[in-house]
Amino acid sequence: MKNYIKNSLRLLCVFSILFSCSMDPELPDVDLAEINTINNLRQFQDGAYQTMVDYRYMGRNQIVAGEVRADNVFANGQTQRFVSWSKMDINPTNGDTEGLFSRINATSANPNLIINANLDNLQGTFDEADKKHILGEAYITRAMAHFDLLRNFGQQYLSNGKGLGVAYVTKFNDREVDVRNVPRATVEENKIQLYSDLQDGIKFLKEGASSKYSADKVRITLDAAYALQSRIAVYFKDYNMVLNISNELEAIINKYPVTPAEDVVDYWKMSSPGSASIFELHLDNGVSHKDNSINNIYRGQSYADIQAFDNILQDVGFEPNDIRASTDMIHTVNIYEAPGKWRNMGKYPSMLSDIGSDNIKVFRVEEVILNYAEALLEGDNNPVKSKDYLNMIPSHRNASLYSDATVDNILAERRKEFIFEGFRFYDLVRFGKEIRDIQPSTSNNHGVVPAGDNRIAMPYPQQELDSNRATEQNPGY
Amino acid sequence: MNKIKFSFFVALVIMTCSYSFAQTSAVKGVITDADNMPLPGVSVQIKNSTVGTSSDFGGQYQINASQGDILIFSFLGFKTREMTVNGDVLNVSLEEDAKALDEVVVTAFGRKLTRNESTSSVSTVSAEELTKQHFTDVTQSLQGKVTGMVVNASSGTPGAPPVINIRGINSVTASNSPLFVIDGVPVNDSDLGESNQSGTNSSMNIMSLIGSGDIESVTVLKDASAVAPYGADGANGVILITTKSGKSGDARYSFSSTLGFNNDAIKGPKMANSLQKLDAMQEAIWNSFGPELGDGTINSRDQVYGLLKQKSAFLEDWENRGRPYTDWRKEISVSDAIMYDVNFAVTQGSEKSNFYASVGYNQTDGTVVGSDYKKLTGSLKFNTNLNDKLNLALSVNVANVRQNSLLENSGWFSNPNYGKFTLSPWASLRDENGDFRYIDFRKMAAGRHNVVFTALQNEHFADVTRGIQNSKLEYKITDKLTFKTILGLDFTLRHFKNNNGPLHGDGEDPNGETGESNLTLFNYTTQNSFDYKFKIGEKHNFLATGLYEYTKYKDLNLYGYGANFPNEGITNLSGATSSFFAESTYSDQMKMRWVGLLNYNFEKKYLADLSYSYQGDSRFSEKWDSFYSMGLGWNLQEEDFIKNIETINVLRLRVGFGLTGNAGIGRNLYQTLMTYNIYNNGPAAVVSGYGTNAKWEKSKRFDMAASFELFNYRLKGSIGVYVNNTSDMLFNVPLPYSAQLVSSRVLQNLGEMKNAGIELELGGDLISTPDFNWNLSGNLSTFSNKVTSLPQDAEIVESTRIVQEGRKVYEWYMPEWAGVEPSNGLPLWYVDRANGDNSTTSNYSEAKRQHIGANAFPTYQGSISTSVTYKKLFFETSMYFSGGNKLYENSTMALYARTTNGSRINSFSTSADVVENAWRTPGDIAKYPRFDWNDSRVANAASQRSTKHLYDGTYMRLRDVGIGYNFSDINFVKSLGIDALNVSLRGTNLWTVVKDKSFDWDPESTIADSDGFTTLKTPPVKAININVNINF
Repeated sequence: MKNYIKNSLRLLCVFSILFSCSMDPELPDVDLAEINTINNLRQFQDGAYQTMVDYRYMGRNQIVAGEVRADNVFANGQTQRFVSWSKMDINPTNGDTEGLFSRINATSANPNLIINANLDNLQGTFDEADKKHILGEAYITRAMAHFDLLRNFGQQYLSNGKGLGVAYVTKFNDREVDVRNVPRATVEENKIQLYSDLQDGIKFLKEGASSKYSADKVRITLDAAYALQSRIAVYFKDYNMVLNISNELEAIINKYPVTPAEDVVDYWKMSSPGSASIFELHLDNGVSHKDNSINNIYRGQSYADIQAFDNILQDVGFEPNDIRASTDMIHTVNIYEAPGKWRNMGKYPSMLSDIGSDNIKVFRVEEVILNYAEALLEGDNNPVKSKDYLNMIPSHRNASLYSDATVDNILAERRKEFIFEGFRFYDLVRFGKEIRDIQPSTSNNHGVVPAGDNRIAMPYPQQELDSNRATEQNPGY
Repeated sequence: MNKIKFSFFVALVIMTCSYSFAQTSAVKGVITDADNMPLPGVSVQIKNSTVGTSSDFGGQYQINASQGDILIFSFLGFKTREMTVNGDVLNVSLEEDAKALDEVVVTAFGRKLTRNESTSSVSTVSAEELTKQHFTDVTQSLQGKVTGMVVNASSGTPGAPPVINIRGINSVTASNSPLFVIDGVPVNDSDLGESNQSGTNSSMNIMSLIGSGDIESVTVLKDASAVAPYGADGANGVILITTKSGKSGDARYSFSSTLGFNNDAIKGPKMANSLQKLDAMQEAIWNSFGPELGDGTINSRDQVYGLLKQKSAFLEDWENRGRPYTDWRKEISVSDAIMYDVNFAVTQGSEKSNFYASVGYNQTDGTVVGSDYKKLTGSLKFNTNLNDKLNLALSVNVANVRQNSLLENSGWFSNPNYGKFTLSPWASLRDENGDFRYIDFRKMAAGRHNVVFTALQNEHFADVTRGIQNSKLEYKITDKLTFKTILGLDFTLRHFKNNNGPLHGDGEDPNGETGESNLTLFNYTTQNSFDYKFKIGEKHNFLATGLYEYTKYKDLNLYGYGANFPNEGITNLSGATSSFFAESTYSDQMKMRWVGLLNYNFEKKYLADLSYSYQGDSRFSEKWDSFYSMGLGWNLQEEDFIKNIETINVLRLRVGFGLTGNAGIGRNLYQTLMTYNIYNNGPAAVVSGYGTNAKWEKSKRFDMAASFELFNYRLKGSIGVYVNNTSDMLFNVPLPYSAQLVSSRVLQNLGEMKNAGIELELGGDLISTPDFNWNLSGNLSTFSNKVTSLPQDAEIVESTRIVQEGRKVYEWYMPEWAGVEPSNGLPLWYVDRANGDNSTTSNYSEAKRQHIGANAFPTYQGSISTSVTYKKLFFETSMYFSGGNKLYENSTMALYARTTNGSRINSFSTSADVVENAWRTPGDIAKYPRFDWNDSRVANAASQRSTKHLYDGTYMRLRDVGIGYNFSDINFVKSLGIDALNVSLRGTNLWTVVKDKSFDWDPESTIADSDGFTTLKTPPVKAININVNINF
């Protein structure tokens, strides 16, 4: 019996250390999607910017989408990136298109979580203006993402489209929403939804005017919201929507000086937003894109797929002294390769170990000026005032002034000013211009794309079609 | 049979005691085996009486018997011997009886049962079988050894894990890997491969850290009643690894040394040489710009070269360099890569204690430049009786592996297995001075890296240390009741480093970059159980077990990155000067189970097993569920009506059913999760998980088997059938992108799937004489699979595969290739042949996708082995085959290896097969479309998914061939004190036949990739080894 007790005691010693057995995971390295504090709110909206600046969206693909399908650049096939975009021969399974579509959509997830959250009971003490400001940022972000979705995948400028826009999704992971049955809205419906988000966003940003974020250029501000409104409105040629905010836009133009010619090169090199910047997406060291950066696709050693056409300077019509055509901005000699290829050297200029760390410039005052000039001309029939605004750009670029404001002049100036920034394709499309074949000998070129051509709208990705039964493909795919 | 197991027999031996009433005196003696090792637990009985005893641990016995009495010595696995008492000492030597052996098998939680007591057919692979081939990972040796288990090497890189599937693909989204249990303790089987800033590296198998020489046996549990005790983790089968234990007696040593040479078993597509490349490009120019098919820019063949020169800067450059030719496949390969393996073990034991200790070293060079593997192992197992009731067993296994790995699998520019298909044969590896070219290399190779240079310049390695320590304390409370407690600790530390040098490749832009990570995996298991063995009456035998097990896993990863190193050669993070980045992740997981097991038999004739368990897993929101099984068995050979049939020695029938679960999903998924990234130097929350209330995937298993041994045990075989019905499938349902989730998948329990199959084994000695033995055996398994229920909106439709009700899981689904249009060389697809539309089109988007009726998983596999022994000489060989599946040439690779697009060939190349078999002139019935410089129909054809790239996966491989000699009986050898000396020469994977001759990739690694896409990994190796084993 004594042995039993002894043996049992021996076992008990072993046994007892083994019974502290919990089944609840310790704090994981991830957190729940709950917004309880103002810090949560800030982090969620910043998450939206982070998604937005991903290379598949604003960080690269959106810029390339606006360039490679137009008449400035082409994909040289070096790594086969963007070749099918350059040819405008895009499959629904194309990875670049899928990446663009999925990231633009994902950008709205956090804004939707914010907009649908009950923000009345945030814990702790905080500035109410901050809360309103972030809420406003969320609305504007959602509008911006859906606008980009629309201009890439919508049918607004197709001659044989059905006028379909995109699904404007306003909730994230709501159990009542059947995400597999979301039909595409019409372009007209999209427009209403965009304006409504703009209006709500502007309202909250105004209420949050005293917030510490109201002058933060790496986040959406009231000025950025107006800039977006001008961009969306000129895209739809809905000039009254621009003229409605004339006072606000003029205030912006006064507040943000156009970059002087001597500072243009440096403006692009700056690691923080320059004075002409209204909104930039920040690229943090460590999460910067490296190989996948816009820098690398323009001139990096490993990709360098996006190359300008051989006669780019003549075709754009740069004057010799135009700072935008200087060797710092566009050049044939890329230090990393043999001469002969024209390269964007000046925009997103960082290379080597800093490659891909440049902020992505989303709104510059120059765009607001040209949007406003266009609206004055086309919507207000005020060519004189329009010309004044138009000439604000060449006067700061060592270029000759325009004698009058015309659509062609504005378009020409937009091409010069925003070259390599992803504007050109949309400018041609919205004015119903044919996209020319600049260099027919290039094997990856798209040839002549007539106005209203089916190829103007990218195809809906296959997974969207497979998983969303209510959606439909664009014509021609 | 393994002698250490004898001690466990003690409990099984029926002991009867009675008073002596004759004129008796004590007779004593020692019972030994043929090797003079004492045999404990041998039953000693006086014939025609009930008087008996059994031998003690030292093999000694004592019994009161009269002179002239006959003593019967009987022991499982030995021939029963009768001896007459003559004097008071009677030493006995028993002879092993392999045939009559009622083999002991290890079952769930290390419980040992004899085959006649178990209702499941358990497959055991012995150490001898496992160590014939010298893979870095012992589980690879299991290929073809166990019916129903498919084992395929995923890569030939040393240390890379095989993919193991037991009884088919049972889950779409959750894990399909079996549970690994070492000496009763579930262990970690994570892949230790690491992704880094420039891509994914070679996989690194944590199981390869178990020294293969230290494994006694591997047991595969696949039947319902066998796996159900592991319920929550049992759905994919369980692999029980038993390590070697000490043996009693004087010290005995064993030494084994193997030297081998490895080469790629299949080299993969042969790419065009430099002149073939030129030929293809000229043909493309002619077709695009000539007068017939082209735009008429040129009108005679003489003008082709001139026009090509205008179009191709590469051509001029190549000519300037004197038209060199680089065979990249050859340059990245290491032929006759050396493998060296050495093991040394010692065992010794006394009455109370014994131990087994070993050390081992393995060095395996990769067949691709820059990869190798070095493993150092040490183990100790110690077993002691603390007193007559308490037994303590301790084991320690420690291993260190350093794997110099590769960027592998995907199209990383520095992946040598990618470079060999993508680098132009015109690009020079070396310059005039014989030095590697790198500065101007990209210009020759369309931006690609000189992979030989980067493989040598860049550092990628995983340095892994794993220690497994088990403590087991057993308390025999009474003869019937035993308590056992186990604590298993499993610790793994992996240090991974990737440095990309600044001279060339991924490290060029950042001027050198380093990523380093430390991954710590720790899990502990505590297991406590009671075994109660009892009888009701004389014939009803019971073994009841109650068990509690708790396992906790902790993973911690710390990662740091830095760039811009001051000098070449400085690679540690402290030398970095910019782009600093650091992160850490932690996650944990708990499992708990309460298990009740009951084994019953009636005279070992009729058997019944029951198990019930209640198990918890922290990965689910609803953490608990219960699982059960029931098994019935009938040992017909124990029946009188069979006993009389001399030809039948064993005939067993088994049937079982049970419910198991699959919890093989990521951790913490049940929550809608955010991860934190950085935005503007502050935290940015990004949705990383949709959140799910998914529960266990359930698998209802049913199986039935018959096994037999006939003609004096010379012919053995079994036949079995099984059906596994998976329900509540864990399913990563694709979401539309408009659902705004980046990963676009959400985990749900949806749908049902059925796997069924037949398993056959047959083998026997065709000739068996004392000097000559010829054994032939084989096995065959079939696999059928069907998704039996799946809502339409959950279907997974990928560009080449589909998961749909009524079809195989991930059945191939793609347009049907219709060949090349003879008149103009354009690609053709059938528009919709399944629906009766036989027309063809060169417009890919008009071709409808078709159900192919096959997926990537074999519908059958088998193996045939034969061995011949003549005196001390042996020869053996085994062949493995599998088939009935289809494999797909990954589109990325097809784009490089199958293109006829001239401007693409200009940048890269194409395969020799394309140059030889592309369309050339009208009327050609060609395998590939015409060469063309511009035409997008031609350019896209190589990557457009269709049956053109789908191949029959049936193949056969000479898995093993060996010849050897046993020198043990030679006097000279004996005079050196050597008990055994074996020398053998072996070949592994020496010969492969692929049914589809046009499939030039390795079928094994393609299947292993489970989705059946060809990979950019190192092909599995073929090996030749010479091996020496010495026991002394």
